[in-house]
Amino acid sequence: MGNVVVAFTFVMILNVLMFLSQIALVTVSPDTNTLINFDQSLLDDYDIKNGTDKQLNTDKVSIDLPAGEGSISPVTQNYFTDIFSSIKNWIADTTGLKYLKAIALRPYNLLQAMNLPQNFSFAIGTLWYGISILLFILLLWGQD
Amino acid sequence: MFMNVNDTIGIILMQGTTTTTGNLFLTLMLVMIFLFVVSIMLGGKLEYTAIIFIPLILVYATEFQEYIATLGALLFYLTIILTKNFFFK
Repeated sequence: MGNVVVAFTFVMILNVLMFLSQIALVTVSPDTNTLINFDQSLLDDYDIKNGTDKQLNTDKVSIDLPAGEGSISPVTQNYFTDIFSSIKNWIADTTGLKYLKAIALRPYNLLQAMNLPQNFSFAIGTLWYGISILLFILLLWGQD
Repeated sequence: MFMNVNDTIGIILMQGTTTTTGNLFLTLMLVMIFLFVVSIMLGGKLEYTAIIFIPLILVYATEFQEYIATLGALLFYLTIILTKNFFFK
């Protein structure tokens, strides 16, 4: 099993455990301390955002998977720049590269949301960020 | 108050831990060391004590801000256990 899959699973499990712990804390005491900020967690991407209760967005699968060709959006009125930009966005959206970005950045947000010391969050977040970026490059080159 | 201090569990958690050694944090540290020693003596894995500590620390984390970081560290540990043993054996 590839290292990127393990990294994504690790981050996902961590987010789920912290979310459930936050629910437990609020159940014990309504005016409790905050363990994580839900907006900064990975689970927020899957929430349908309908009211206060969390609900899984089941339509997200069909939205995220590749569903056909994209169109060129005129931004700079320069054909070459717009074509390049549109192709880059299409590849990033339809091949799941934005999930890889979430893997790299979420642990730092979690550490910050836990009110840990700033230097500690910076050190651990940098460690995770650098290693995960290396894993992505190796994955793209087929060396993972 | 973060829990019902008049029932049995509340008395054990707050007054019991405070009056045993005179300091809540010191009592908790002694309980942790005791469980670590028991785990080592019985030949079990040390990280499985996190399963006992997480509910205990979670209750204290509702009242004391210091335990939030401890709870987060324990959750990191539990995540490693789950990832290693149940998802990628």
